[in-house]
Amino acid sequence: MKTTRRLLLCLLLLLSCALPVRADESEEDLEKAARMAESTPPVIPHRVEAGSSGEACLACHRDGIKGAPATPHPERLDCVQCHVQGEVKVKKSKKGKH
Amino acid sequence: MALSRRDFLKASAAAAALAAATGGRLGVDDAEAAEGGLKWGKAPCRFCGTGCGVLVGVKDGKIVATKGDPAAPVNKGLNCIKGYFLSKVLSGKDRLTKPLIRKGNRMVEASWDEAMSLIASKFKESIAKHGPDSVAIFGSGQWTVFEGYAAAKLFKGGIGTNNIEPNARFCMASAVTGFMSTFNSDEPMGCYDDLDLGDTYFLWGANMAECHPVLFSRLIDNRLKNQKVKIIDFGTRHTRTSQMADMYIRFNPQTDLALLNGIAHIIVRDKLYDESFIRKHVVFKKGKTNIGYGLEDKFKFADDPKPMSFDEYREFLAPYTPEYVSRLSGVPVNTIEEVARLYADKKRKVNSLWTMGFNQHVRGTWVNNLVYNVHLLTGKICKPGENPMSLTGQPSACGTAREVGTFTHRLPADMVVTNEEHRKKAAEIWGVPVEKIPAKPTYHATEMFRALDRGDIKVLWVQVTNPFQSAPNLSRYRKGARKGGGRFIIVSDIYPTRSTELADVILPSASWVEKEGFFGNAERRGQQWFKMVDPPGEARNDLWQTIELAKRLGYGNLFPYRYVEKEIFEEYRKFTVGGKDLAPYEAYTRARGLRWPYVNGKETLWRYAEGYDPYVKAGEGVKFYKNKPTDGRAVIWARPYEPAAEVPDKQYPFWLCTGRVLEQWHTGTMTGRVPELKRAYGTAVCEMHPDDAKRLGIKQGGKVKLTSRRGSIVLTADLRGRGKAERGNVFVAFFDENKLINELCIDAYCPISGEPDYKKCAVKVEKA
Repeated sequence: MKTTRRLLLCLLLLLSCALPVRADESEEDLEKAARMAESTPPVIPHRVEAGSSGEACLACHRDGIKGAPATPHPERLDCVQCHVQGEVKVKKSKKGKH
Repeated sequence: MALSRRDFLKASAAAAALAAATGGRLGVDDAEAAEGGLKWGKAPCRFCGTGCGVLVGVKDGKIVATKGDPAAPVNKGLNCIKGYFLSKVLSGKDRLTKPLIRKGNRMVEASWDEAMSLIASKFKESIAKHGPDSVAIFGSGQWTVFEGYAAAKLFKGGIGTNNIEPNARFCMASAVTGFMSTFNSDEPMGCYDDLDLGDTYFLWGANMAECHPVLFSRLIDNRLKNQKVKIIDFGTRHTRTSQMADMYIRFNPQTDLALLNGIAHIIVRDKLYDESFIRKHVVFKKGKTNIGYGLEDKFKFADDPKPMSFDEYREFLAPYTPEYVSRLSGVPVNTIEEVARLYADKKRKVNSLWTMGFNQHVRGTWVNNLVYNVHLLTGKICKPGENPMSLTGQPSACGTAREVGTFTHRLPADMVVTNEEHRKKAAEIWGVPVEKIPAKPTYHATEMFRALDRGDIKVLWVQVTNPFQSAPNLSRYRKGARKGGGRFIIVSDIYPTRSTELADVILPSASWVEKEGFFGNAERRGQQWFKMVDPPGEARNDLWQTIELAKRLGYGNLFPYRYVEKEIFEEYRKFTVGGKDLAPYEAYTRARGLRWPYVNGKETLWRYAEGYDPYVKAGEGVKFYKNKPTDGRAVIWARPYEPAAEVPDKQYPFWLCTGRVLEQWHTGTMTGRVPELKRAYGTAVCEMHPDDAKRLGIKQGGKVKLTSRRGSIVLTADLRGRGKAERGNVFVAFFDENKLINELCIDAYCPISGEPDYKKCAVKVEKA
């Protein structure tokens, strides 16, 4: 029973996405997985207050306002676990933190 | 029900990952077009114990891309920033590519034959003059299973010394002794699925947002889907984790012992425990108290467990009233009451997660015992979504150091050298006479470096780690290594480090996908990978190096393999039958990892639980079957609060805590070579509270001098960084090779586990 239910779920997922997510892999499968995988996350080209929250990032990056790129994954809130401080491209603010 | 719920969550998480991967502007993009002609392979990440799946893209013999593997159940396509930069980790400009031999103050290039002949001659000479216990090997949880196994077999079964230790002693040893004393088997009952299935998460001394970011994401994800989810962060420092938690509970260093007894006190006082679970599955014990701190050389300790009744345990808990615990810990009485009720709430699926705050602790074993006590009292253990879970710091701290058993007292799969039956079994599988394996452990890591300093150990080989940056009370051991008098240090690594600078011979190693490998992560998941690129220059893998020494010492017959990795694995697998069963090697080459025990083609998600663990019989429900001496019951331990080894006083009024940051891993030798990571957090700073700084005239970005009884250091003050020190505390990360903060750390350790306390010593703070 449980197995059938699991199989069904797997099948549904496979059909709806037409992508193979499964434990076994061949070279082809790895290539497909790589194609759907995300690339290296861009670094942050502006200053970030230490301790600012994901919500603060999403204020601009949820919809991409003020020229900020919109994030493809607004559900992820720990932004700085992947996006780290990069070179700051804007003019240095005298009051800049860090 | 649990199964279908899990399936649903898995499916929706995968769907979310897919949507993210395919729908985004920042996801799949132009870079994809340039990736034609890549050959992709799978591997676990090189860094922490989480064990994220990574896809490695190779072109023209070079790693050109790494990506989080969407099909990997651990990380479901996500990596942390270190994982995303894996492709750059192996290609720093200063990779070691030739063996180097010390000639005076210079390191001179040599051939492998010259280097290995010299090493073998030093081993032979030392063994002949001073006996086998004068030579030693120090590795880590970065050893692949094959490498750790070969080293253990050569040293214990060939040379005949128990002088083998891993960096895991600095990191995980208290978790091991906690598991062993409570369950008589190392490694957790739960798995990462608990991160998706539970609703209440207590974090103890674990900055998951920085140190286990991908697992923390699973928690946050769970909370997004389920409003009931609460994350409660117990800490001595406000971190990124505290910031995202629902509740941050600040406590005074070392008082976690009192807090956990206080929680148990309330659970027992108000009869919130699960009586039938206790009756069926638990026994009570007490051990020695006032057990010391291991500060003297050759310190020895043996616990003396005595059975006790539930009533006696209740008496033991009596002093830990919320008021008393509050005075010690600084946590308000109401909070202690509230937390105990959360732990005991029958409608909540409760998990505890911890790392170095518990393990690097002079009472590390005790505090591990105490958290199990709370789960055992409430019966919230061995169930999908409710478990205590010890997180690990190195990629194969579990798979290699703990499961293969590369500790002085250990043999593979929970066995120990002090047990004659265990020695017999090991000797039989290894094909050596049983007398070869010494029955007495020699030195655990700290004592090993003390023995080197005293001159009892003459020849030390360091592989896959950097102890001359990571040991506590570092100055003593760095000086000890270069005292002469016949001491000879060999260091195998991929870059110059603070350890290679003390070496007499440096061997250039292959790393990660430059060799075939196998790591075991914190949820019992074994993961295999194939070699994908050649190491640079003449670099060779540590497995080859160890076997080459074996051949030159006359123990080549212990390694009669053709397909070395696979055959070593299959030999090691014989040890694991009966509860820690590994799958055949082939199975791992195809799977994104498998969780042991693997029996009849199935992995095990929850150990000791009927319906999941094949060793638990129908009708038993839960069975701690590894604990044969207690008839399959787990142990609730009476472990009191005892103070830290060194506490702040007039002269040294601050607590110093050390730890990690997101961008840098361990001693920074790999992550420090990635420009993006270095730019994001390149230098260790001193986190301190603005009020303390103001009082001492220290400004943000100003210089501050920290001094302990063992050393001093000047750092930049950070009063408003990502981590916020509490009053009277300072925090410094230990990755920075130019700021050896461990020179200040005390080498006091937990007498049971031998693990040093890097989290607590007393320092003076001055404006510099």
